[in-house]
Amino acid sequence: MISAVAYGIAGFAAFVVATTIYIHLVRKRSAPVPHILMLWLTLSAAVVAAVVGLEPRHGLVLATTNFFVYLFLGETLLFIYAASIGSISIRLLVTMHALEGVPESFERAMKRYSPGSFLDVRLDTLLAKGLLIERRGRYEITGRGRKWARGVAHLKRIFAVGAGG
Amino acid sequence: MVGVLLAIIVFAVSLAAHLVYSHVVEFKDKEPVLVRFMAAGSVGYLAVYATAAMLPAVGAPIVGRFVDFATGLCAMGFFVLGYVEFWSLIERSFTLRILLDAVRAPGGLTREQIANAYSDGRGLDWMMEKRIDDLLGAGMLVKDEGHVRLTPRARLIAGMFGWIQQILRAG
Repeated sequence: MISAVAYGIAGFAAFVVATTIYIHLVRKRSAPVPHILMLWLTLSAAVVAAVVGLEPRHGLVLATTNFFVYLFLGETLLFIYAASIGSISIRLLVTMHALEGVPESFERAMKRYSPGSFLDVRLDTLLAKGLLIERRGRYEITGRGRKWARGVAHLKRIFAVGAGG
Repeated sequence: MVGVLLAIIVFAVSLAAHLVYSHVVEFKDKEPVLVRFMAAGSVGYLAVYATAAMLPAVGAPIVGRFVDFATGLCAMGFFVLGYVEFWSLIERSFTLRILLDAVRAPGGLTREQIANAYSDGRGLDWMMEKRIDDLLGAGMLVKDEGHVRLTPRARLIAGMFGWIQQILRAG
């Protein structure tokens, strides 16, 4: 029964096209993950609306099957996208791969991605989001940042993951 | 829709089992344990679905048996991937860790102090060492005559991500 998955697959294709257009035409660089996440969720609602509107017979069943097909495919893309732009480990692997054939590719990759450069990027992000403020060369946590930190500490306890980082 | 319902139940059981295990058993490498639990959950879905399909009370799905099973598998994949992503964010996010360190210093921290205090005083170098240890442990990197090299599997993954980075301008 093709209509059980067709809307989900079409929705995913639309998500890929919309993401590509957004990155290449609108931003001309990698887009923040929350933007792509919003696009993904908006299109998931469109998939459900399309199924309910176009398939009055078995609407609930078809909306459910198409919804999960779309969510899974879209989440896979999001996972790859987020890992591509955010994961230190992935960046290290990709750089080592690009430098293969060059002696000491690991050492060269490590030089390119110094821990200090990652720290600067993260501090800028925290400042931009209003979770930290910089005052006379010192980074202080804001009220909003404190709330986030409490939430994260709570989740770390729930998942029993320790200090991490 | 039986597939989706079973996926929700099996995932909930897998999640609960992983949480209980994480609290009760002391272990160092948390990521492989998470992966094993989620892989076991996915295999569990196959077994539960196959069993349910044989029960007379579970009638023929409106969408057909295979599509019903496959959409359930998609639901399972969606939950598993979502949990793995969320768990990884909480366990190892660099940004969130900085925030946790900053909350312990009401007077603020300089950049150098943040670097040195990172993750309960382990420091930034530890952060990189942890990632490299994880890559070695996951069989992505291998030490070969004093040099660290990519394994064939890591080469495949790095090639795929490199290609995706070019397409998505994510490098």
